[in-house]
Amino acid sequence: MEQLQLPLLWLMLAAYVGALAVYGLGIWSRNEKMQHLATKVVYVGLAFTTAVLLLRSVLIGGLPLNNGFEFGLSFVFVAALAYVIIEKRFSIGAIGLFVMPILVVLCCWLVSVDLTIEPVMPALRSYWLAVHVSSAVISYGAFAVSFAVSVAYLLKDKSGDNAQSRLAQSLPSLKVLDEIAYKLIFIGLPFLTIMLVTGAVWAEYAWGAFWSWDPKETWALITWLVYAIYLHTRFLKGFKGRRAAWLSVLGFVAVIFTFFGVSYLLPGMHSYLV
Amino acid sequence: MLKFLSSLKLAVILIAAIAVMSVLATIFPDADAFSSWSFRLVVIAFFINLGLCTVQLLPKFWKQLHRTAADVTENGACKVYDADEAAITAWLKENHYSISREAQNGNVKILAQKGKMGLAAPHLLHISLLIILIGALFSTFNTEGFAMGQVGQTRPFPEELRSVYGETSAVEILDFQTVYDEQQAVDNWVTRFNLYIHGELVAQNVETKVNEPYRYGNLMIYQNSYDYRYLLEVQGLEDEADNTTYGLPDNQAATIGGQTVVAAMVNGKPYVQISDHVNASRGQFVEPGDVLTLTDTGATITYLGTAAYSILELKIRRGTYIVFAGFLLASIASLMFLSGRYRELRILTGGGKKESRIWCYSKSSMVVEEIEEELAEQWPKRQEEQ
Ligand code: HEM
Repeated sequence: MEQLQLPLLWLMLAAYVGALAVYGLGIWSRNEKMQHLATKVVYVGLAFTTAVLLLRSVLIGGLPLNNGFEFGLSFVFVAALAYVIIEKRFSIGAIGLFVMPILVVLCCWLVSVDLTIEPVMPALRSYWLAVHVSSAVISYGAFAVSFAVSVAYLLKDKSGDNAQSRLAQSLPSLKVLDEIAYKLIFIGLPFLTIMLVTGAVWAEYAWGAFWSWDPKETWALITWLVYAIYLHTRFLKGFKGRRAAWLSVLGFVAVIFTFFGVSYLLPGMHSYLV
Repeated sequence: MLKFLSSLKLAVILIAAIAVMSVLATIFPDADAFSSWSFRLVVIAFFINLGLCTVQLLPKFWKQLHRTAADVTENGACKVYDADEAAITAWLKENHYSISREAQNGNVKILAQKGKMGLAAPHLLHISLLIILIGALFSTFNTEGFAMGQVGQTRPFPEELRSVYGETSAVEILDFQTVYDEQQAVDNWVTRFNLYIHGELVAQNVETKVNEPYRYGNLMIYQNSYDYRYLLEVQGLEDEADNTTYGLPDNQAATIGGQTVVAAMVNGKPYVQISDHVNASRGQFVEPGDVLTLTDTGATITYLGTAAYSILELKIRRGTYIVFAGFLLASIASLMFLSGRYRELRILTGGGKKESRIWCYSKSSMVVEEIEEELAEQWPKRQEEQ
């Protein structure tokens, strides 16, 4: 059964690459039907993602949230799910053009990492950790999609709201893009808060300190602060729209750095996650 | 001045400052930026800013929460729908709004609110952050240290804790075990011990393990780590004081009787190596009871076996419960955010007319648009009024 993981991962990657291509074609040819077709392909990708997740759960006999691979897989799942929900709710298929690359990059990483199942170290055997990691995955998924929406915003903004470009035409108005990103961040931040809190409680029980400024912790806090800035600047004049979109991009850069950068570039307690 | 200190602008500046300093601190970890005065100063300023802001916001929040139909005024642009009071009220009830109504010369004012949890959430979150910061301040006075001992040994409390617990507090290590799960992977490390405070036995045969520390009042005892030591009994050395049992850490050289002795696991079996400057090094796999020659003068080493050393971390914690209370509030606040946005409808209707004028408020313009769309679906909108 372990051998089944990799083929499923490749199928999942193929589906997201396919969806990306069809979105691209649909937007380029101004063909709405094609965009709908692309969304169907995302559903296929989501089905494969679900299948690998279930398989992995069966293999390890628990929630697949124990190491970097499982976290990344869950991240892809939530991001794809968040996208599908947003797409259905606001019928904005063209956003897929910006969400799919994130999924594709993550999937490329997933097919490249070691899939063998290692026993979980004692400190990680905690219910706090399960809540900690699941809320992290949910917030990261929401932030990934908000990032894509903000990138779409910035591109459309650059070509002017009413521009004749194929991309600008297939995207909703700047105002709607801005509001969707806001909504996603508004959902993501509470989960990030829960992630920080449960992580701190777990650290108190496992390591004897709820906060030790280890780089991963610190970067999670930085991410949280960036999104807090995002929400508060919305109450200030002149921060909606372009500046907000840049903050949302910055927030996701912090997310990615917390996830990859810290593990690969900085040393710390959390580095065993990858 | 007070206005600036409590302002949102300052809040954004301070949060950004904390974020930037944190980024720099992870890039230059040696600078120990988090204990620098500049960092502390910014956090203190943040605390004051948030505190003042909260004090100012709470009365406004309270008023908004208890707003009634009497507060409905014709303020700003509204939308007009061809619905009478009964129809609007039915719609509000169907959508779970809480309603306040006031009738005046045939005209009816209605205030409809929904999502009060969402309205309270930011305030509760802000308060929880203040509480966490207060707790964190206390917890900077935590003291911790380590006690390490072999099964059977009684170890005094570490230096750091003696100012509180004196010289006669100790842990007596009764047992140390590595616990395995069904797949034979390490599940946990468990130490059983007796706890003596000021010489008095206060806890007997209690255990501490990873993720489940032992707690005695403010004193926490964590299973921090463990170590296996190779027990080597030395006999026949000239200096009687050297003839004792040594506990050698894995793969670390020790000098005994002028010789360098190393014990380590080689292919999963204990191996002892002895070397000096004159003779070539000699080594062999050992089993408990094996005797090795240590020196030319007839001193010997007897391998007695390995002994587990448990390493416990002892910590006097302060402020942790305050921080945890803050954490709990922050979690509750987060769930309250997810329960949905606050929205408020101010409605003027009545007089038997099939007309309702509605002002719709929410922090999110998307929510406003959704509500107005829904209303327009029910009652084709007649006009917009300025
Ligand atoms: C990093 C710390 C902070 C976090 C995580 C935080 C979180 C939040 C969140 C999630 C909201 C709701 C935003 C929305 O409705 O879109 C909010 C609102 C607000 N925050 Fe903060 N906040 C923080 C610090 C501060 C500080 C220092 C101030 C001081 C000026 C402040 C002032 C406000 C105000 C005035 C609101 C609007 C409240 C309302 O709905 O009337 N916040 N905060």
